[in-house]
Amino acid sequence: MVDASTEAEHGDLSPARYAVIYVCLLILTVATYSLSRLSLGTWSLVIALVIAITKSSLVVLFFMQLWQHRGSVRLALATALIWLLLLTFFVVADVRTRFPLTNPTANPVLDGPVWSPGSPEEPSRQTSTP
Amino acid sequence: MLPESHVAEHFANIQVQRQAARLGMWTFLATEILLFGGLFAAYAEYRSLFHEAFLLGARHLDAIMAAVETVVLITGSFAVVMALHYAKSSRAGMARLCLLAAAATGFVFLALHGVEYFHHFKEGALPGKYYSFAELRVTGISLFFALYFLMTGLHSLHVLVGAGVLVWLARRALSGQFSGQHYHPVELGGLYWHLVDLIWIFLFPLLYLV
Amino acid sequence: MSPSAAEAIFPEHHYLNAGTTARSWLLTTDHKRIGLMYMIAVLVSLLLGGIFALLLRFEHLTPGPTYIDAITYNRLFTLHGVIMVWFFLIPSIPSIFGNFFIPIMVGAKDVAFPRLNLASFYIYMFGAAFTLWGMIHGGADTGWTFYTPYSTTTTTVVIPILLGIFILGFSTILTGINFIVTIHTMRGPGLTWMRLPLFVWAIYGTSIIQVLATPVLGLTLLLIAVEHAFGFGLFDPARGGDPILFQHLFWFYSHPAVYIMILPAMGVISETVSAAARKNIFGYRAVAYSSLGIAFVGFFTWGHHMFVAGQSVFDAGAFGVLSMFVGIFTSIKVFTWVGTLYRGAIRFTTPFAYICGFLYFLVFGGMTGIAVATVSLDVHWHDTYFVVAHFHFIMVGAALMGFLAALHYWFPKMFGRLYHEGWGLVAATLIILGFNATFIPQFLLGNMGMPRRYYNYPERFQTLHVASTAGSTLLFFGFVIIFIYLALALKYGRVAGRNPWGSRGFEWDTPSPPPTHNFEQLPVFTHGPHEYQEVPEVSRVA
Repeated sequence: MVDASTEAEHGDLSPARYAVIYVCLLILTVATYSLSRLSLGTWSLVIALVIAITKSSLVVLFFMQLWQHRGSVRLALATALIWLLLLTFFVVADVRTRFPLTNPTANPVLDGPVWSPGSPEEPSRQTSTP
Repeated sequence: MLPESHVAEHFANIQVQRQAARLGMWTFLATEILLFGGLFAAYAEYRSLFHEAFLLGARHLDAIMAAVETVVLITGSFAVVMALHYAKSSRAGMARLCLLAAAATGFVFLALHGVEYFHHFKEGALPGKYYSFAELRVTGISLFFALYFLMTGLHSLHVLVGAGVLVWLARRALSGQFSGQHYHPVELGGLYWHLVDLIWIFLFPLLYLV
Repeated sequence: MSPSAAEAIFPEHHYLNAGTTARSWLLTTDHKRIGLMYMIAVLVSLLLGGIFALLLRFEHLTPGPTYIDAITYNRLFTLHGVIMVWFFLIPSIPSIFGNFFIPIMVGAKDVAFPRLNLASFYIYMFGAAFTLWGMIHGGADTGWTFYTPYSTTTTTVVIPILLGIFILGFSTILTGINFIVTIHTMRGPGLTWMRLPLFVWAIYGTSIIQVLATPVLGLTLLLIAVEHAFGFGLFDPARGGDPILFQHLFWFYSHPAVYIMILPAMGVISETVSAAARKNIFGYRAVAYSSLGIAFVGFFTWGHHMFVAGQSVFDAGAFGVLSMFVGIFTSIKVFTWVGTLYRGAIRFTTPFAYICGFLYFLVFGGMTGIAVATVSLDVHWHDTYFVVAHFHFIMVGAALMGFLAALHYWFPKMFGRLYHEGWGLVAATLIILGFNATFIPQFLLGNMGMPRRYYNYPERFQTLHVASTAGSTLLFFGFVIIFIYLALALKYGRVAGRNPWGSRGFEWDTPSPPPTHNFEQLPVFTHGPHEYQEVPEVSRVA
């Protein structure tokens, strides 16, 4: 029978290693903030998400010790993430492929000028990009 | 103390109990991810529809405050990791200290968030029909703030619960319950705390930065 | 092979008499007792939901007002849906039979988290209390689907019911977590995945769905409540909100939810079909994998509830195609069950009657499901009685048959007594006939254009409505008969003995009723389940 106490040490990182991960996370936080101050258009969302994914991978793999733990817990996380993407994909695909005039517009009293056919100010809603 | 004394009656041995606890908590974390998932999907849809409002809304939020909040939560995560390390080494005092420190980061986070909310309340940048912030009038802005308050609000609730769990674990640590053989409550509580951190890692850029 | 009279002894100590105080029941962590407490709660829900259904059917005896007004009618169908979906169908087989049998089937003394299991039960009761409170105060009239913007603006009592279901969702999630962890980590020695009983596979698939889908429901219900109370505008077009977003979020849960309802019933059929035919299950792996297949593919199809709601053509097309895949896995199962029965030594017992009913209802309900999942056809049938008939065929026809099969198959194991077979068959016949009489007219009505959730209808539909109501009365009597003979059997039934069916399921190796810790000795597994050809009926206890 495996000695219970050795399981505690097997695969765990040393405090120093955890500290290194911590510092990496701080650096990435600074990075994501700084990069967001530049105007990069569409890329700013992509870069922000890439950094967020990197940070969360560090937390999940090392702080949450998924790197050293068995298959079923990894499967639980992977499934949840894929399902999240599934829901988001079809919801966004819906609004982006609908006939544009069926998409909601906002209340003009609260949120700004209303668009009406032929009015001089037409917000270019149809061409919005993420 | 016998190594088997922490094993509940229906488990074959400590390994099974530990693996069961871990899988149970990870499965629960999966449900939390999907709980927030609905809000992320709503965010994605409305960002797609009201791109300008989301850009301007993000600019209007306090990104620096949020960056500080991010650092605070990450520090809390690090503290929790250290708490687990000390719990496994049977160092009750240090474990307790780290757990309390982590809980403290949670309360600091909530306080900073409270400041943010107060600021928005004062200027009228509120969700839906309560939106009255005259300086920012763009199509869809009330929806941005609706999502902002819903997502950060739900998240803050989880921070509160997480901090509570850590305080409770700190009290248990004080009584010397944790050791190399029995540490999984700290591990599980830590996992929940890390999840709270993870969600914020995504909320931060999506709401404040882009 | 029937048991000899000498075997039919009633054990002296078992889980029912191990502690007789109220406290020993209310604070129990024994999964079997928790299963029984769920049984009472779930059967009460079935009764309540059924009464609402009868009230609705009686209102439809005449085209105009019969004995209730329109808003009461709306409330009744809302409550009927809410109770039947969330308080009866979803918990039914998993919380009663899953709780009772999963630990026994995997060779464990209890589930992974027994106290959490008890908490799940109390959370269910707490959620039920909230919903009941809402019902007493008039109840919502939105339909169980709570579509916005009506649900966020209606003046009827929506929030307590939303909260009740939200709380109930936690019960479902915790039960799902418990089963997943139990199946993953507590299988007995020698019990590999490919030796698990098919009921365990089905519950495993169900638990995965519960865990992934229910949180989204929780969030969605919360959003309606917030919207109703505070007007954030998330689903309000006047503020830029999208009502269809609500439908996406709602059906992302609610379509997989129907698989939560049917998959356990399929698991029961897998168990009983093998026992009824006294033959190895045909295609064990196919059934096991298709349980997972249904669990996963069920998540890719939700937009087929929204074909005419206003979602984009791209989404509609995608969902229409993806919906077809579920049919594949269901068909695999039907073929394997029929393959099991073919050339089996069938005994026509009450569980077998329900198997027959199940197969019939699943095939026709399933085929009409594929039909309504076809976009061009659904444009005509959406929101008509055709859809109502389709889902009742599956939910009442198939799922309820599965529930009744489970009840009749496992009654001897759970209570140590046999019920009266003759009356069992009579009740089964009445239910199957009554069901057909209730819902076949509804297919015809729907095809003729009768909309669902409508209080009034044109004169020409009256005959079919009356026929449907007559059928529902027959259905009700079938249930009354079941209740009577099962209640009598509890006290006066013949002693069942360990294995009255001669089944090869693992649970039949323990006494009937089982002891508190399930086994006298923890079992070691040396071969798979449902093996009739290879293994003579011997005890598997090592």
